[in-house]
Amino acid sequence: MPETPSNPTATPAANIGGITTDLGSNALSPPEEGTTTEVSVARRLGLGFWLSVGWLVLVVALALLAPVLTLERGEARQNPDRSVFVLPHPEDTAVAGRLDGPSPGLWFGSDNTGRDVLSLTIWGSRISLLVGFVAIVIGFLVGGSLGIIAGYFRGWFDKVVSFVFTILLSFPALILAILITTLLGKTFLWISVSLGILAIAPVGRLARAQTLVFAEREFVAAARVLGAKDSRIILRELLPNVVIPMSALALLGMGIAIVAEGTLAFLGISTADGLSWGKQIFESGSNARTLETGPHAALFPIVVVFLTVLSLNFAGDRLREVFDAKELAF
Amino acid sequence: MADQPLLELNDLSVTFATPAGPVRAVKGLSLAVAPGRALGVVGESGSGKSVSMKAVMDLLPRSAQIDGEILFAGENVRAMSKDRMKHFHGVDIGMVFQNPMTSLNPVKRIGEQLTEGMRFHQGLSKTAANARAVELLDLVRLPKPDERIRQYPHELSGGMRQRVVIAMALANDPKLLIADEPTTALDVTVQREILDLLDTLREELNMAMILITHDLGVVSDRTDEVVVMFRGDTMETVETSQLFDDDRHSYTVSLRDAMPDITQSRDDNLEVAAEDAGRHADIPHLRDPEKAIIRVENLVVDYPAGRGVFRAVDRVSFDVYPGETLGIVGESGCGKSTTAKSIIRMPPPTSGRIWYEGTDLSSLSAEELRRKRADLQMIFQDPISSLNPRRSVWDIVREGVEIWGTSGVWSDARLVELLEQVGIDPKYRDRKPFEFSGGQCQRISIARALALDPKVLISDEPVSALDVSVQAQILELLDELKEQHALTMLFISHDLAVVRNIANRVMVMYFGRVVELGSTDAIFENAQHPYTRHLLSAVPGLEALGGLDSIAGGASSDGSWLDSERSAGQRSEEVPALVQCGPDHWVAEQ
Amino acid sequence: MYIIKRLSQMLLVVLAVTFLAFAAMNLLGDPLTNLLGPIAEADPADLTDDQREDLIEARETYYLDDPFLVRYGRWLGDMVTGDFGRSFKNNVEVRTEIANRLPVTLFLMVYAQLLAIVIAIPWAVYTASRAYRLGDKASTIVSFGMLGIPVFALVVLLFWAFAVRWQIFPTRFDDSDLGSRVWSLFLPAVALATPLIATYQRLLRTDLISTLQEDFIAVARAKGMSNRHVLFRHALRPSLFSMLTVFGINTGALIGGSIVVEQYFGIPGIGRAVIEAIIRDDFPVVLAVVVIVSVMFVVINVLVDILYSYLDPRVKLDA
Repeated sequence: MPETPSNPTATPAANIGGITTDLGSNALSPPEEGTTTEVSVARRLGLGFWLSVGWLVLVVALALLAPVLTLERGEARQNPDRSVFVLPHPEDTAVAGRLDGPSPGLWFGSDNTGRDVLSLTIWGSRISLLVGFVAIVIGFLVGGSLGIIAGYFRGWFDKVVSFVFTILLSFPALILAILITTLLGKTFLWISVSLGILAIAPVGRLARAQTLVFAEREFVAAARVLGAKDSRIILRELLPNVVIPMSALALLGMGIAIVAEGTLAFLGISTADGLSWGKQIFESGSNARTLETGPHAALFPIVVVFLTVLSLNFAGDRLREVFDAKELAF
Repeated sequence: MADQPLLELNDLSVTFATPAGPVRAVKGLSLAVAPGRALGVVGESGSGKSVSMKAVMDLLPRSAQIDGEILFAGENVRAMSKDRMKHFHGVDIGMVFQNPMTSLNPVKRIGEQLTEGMRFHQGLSKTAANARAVELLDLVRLPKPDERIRQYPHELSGGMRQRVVIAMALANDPKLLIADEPTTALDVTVQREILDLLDTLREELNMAMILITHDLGVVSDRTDEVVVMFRGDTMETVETSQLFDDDRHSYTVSLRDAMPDITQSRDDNLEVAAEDAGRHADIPHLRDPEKAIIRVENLVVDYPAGRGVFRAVDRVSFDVYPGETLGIVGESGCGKSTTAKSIIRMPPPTSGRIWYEGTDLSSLSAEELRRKRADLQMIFQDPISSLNPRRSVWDIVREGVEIWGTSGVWSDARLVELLEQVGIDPKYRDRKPFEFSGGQCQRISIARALALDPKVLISDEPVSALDVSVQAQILELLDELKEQHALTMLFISHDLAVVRNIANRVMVMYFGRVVELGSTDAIFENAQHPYTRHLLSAVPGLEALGGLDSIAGGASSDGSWLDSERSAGQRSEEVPALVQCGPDHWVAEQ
Repeated sequence: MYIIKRLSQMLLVVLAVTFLAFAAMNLLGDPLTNLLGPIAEADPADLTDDQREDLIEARETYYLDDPFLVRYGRWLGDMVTGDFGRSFKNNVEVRTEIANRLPVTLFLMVYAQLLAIVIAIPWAVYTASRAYRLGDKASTIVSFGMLGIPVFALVVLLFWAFAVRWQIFPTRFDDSDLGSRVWSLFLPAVALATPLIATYQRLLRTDLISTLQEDFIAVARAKGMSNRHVLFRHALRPSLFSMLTVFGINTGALIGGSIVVEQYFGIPGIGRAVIEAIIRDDFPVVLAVVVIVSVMFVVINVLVDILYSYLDPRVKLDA
């Protein structure tokens, strides 16, 4: 055996043997990581993540700009030679023929009553997105804090909260939403609230599970040894660790809430007035004859819902993967 | 050697494709094992010792590229057909892995796992295979083998499971046994039993063995020849008998020097140990109650277990004097950590009293206790888990100061100084823990604990997750800091050699009770209790180091006390009293 | 012991769910109005005899003269004995209604779950054994697509493609014999199964990948066992837990899905019954369905628990 392979003392960590020299020269340098963390995280999220985010930004921007992009009610019919960038009002019927195919100026074609499908789709996104957002905010505020507190303190509070979560989960979600909306009214507020209640249990369970994982880690014990109070441990030690997987869940949850609202609308029990993707798809997709002559009227909104939910799922999943949270509580 | 080697590696290299570019984990390893011989492969983590054997067993992920030659009895392993390869793995070579808790499939019965290889490779019938399985379990000295084959892995202890894994490896009479850190996850006394078993089996079955380990002590007792690896490179190959010679490779020497030396006593034994004034009336081994910084009397800690409770700590009493280091040793589950941690009420004691500087801690309110905690700090076993991954080093070290407000003792300038003291360059203070190595994380953890200027430092296995060279650095650092900061230390460890190097006094625990307590020299030079002697005799590499006086005769190191204790299954009702057997040396009555 | 403990926990769940549903009916608004609609508030003089009888019967059936908790207790007692009351809107015994509707829904749900498991398990094993390679990456895209499409959009898509455009499957539910039942329920079952397939495949793949990194897998490989043996005999069983858990929890979601599917395809199951009942404000039917669904949920989850302890011998001890 040759006695001199590449000499270990040439590499920095070769101090491995020379203990005293190492201590004398103090200052160990951390392993070189190259660039800063932020850049590498952005890159690790990958092209798919940023494409998803791009689509979501587009959808949200169109939803916000909907009033600017569309004409007043009735205006389109008075002025048939409108610019291709200005859409008719979504509730204007007969702006085109029945089930006209896509064409310039009528990008998504028209539906059974001659309404502009693109305009309907853009306006439909407003309720879907807003309901999804409000529901997730409710779910996070209530479920997230309950889950963290239960996971940290354990004991009877944890038992009660976990039991409530189990009940909420075992309640068939759609029936619960239907129950609440039929009893309280088919308004935007109650639909958001009922979907928010549905979000509490999954969010809370993830928050609790993550808290349990991190509460066992020794850095929590270390903080307690330093004399940190519970409030400090929850806010400064646990929350930053729990928030990342939760934010991934927020994106997934928003997708679920959008689908749930769409389902209610599809069944005809969402907001009585107003437009929604689900309602639009039901109106154009529930009749075999309509589907046969003009499938585009149903397919365009389906593609938009699909891409939106897909983007939310994908972005959430990438976040979760990059920040390495375990697949819990779904 | 005239024999044709059984396994021969020629210039073996393993390269992993990673996002950061290729990483060469093994660089040009060459080795040979002759039939019936034992070869040790030694190195720290990242040395490539396990990777090279996984290359032999074709267990590496696809991202690994293997170069070089692997010959088994002259046959090129890498050119083998698929079927020949299966036979080679299943019949020619047996392999034993590091962690017996995870090496067995949790959902399959022992018998099924033992027999499937035999049935597959030898085509044995179910009954024949079962009979052979019983035979094998008997061979690895597992009691009641015919019952074992119907059990599931979780019904067996770690040591028993490792015996099953060994039996499995032997199922098809392999010519070569590869053991990858077979005892690292086990207690020291079990480690010795398993290593002894491997030795015996090797002779009985005339097998060759490759023993992969990080522990020079283990190879020095058990092998004929040793390959020393470092970062994928082979440092040297040497006859085991010459491993401790002076003209070894510099890396081998540094590895050897980094090993804590169990035969060497500290040079600074404290005077307080000799003082004998003012003994406690009921518990004579507690010395001067006025001077003790910590005094623990009849500490009991119960954990809920099933319907009843498990008594983790059973009426333990001891005291600690300012400036000394008390080592608490014992095997896993003996209550050593619980004992120390219950001083800071994590977990709170079930009964018993604890005084800190004359204050009864149990009489304090939660808030008063929280304030006391600044004086009693702790460092943890797992350096990674003990640092919050989302906070910077600076936030972590500054946390204590923040909690106690600006009136705290440490200005920023002093915190910077502290970071320098523990060997972390302050310019890296904004980095997150994952950017540091394990040893560096442990340094940060130490800085965090010292930032509050504590009087007592509880160190719970602070070096057992670290490589031996890093371990030596951290121990030295702790020793230095203890002087600089006038600390009193409770040092919990399963590693007797480490304790000998750092402690002034030692308390040996078994099954929640103290069996022996005394000055470090008394314990190591003149151990009285059979359990202590058994523990000491199990330390690997003792012979190469020249042995210990206390067990030189080996008279009572045969583990018979342990055996009778184990077979009794539970403890006696009474805690055996500690009786004095030397100036500062107490041993439990048997 | 373990099973008994879980069973009692699950009974508590049934109690809580039914309590909530009953409380919703009784406390959100006037219970009589919830049960009967506007006639409850109308002047009794304006009502027909039948309507007056309905009023009296509703008061009796739902014990509206008792305090709330007693009311709940007596109603629950009726439920246990199988007395689900009578619909005040179309004068049918709720029990008969349910008995007619439930079998179709159960058939549909079992159909969908079977499809999902039969497809998801081999798919997951395939992708896990080739993790991060091309086939696996393509699978990830496919399963994401399957998760991204809401059931209400999927039914339209499937219906358009396979019933309207290519006319492979009938557009209507056909219950004349078992063959046509299976055939005409194929599209509805696929619509229900699609998100399940993707969920199961992803969960099982993740768990399999981590199981395949366990030491005992390396041990099995080091014993020279074949790849197939390692995958199916060693890795699969300990990896089934997340999938099984979600299988149990999904029962609720599956009911939601089958409401949409039944409604769209015109299948006379309880999902459709619920929607019809809600549209005509027929509360007794809704309540009965909630009770049945929650009992179903509990039964399935207890079965899952039993399966757990069969799959993993450690479960019994950890109770």
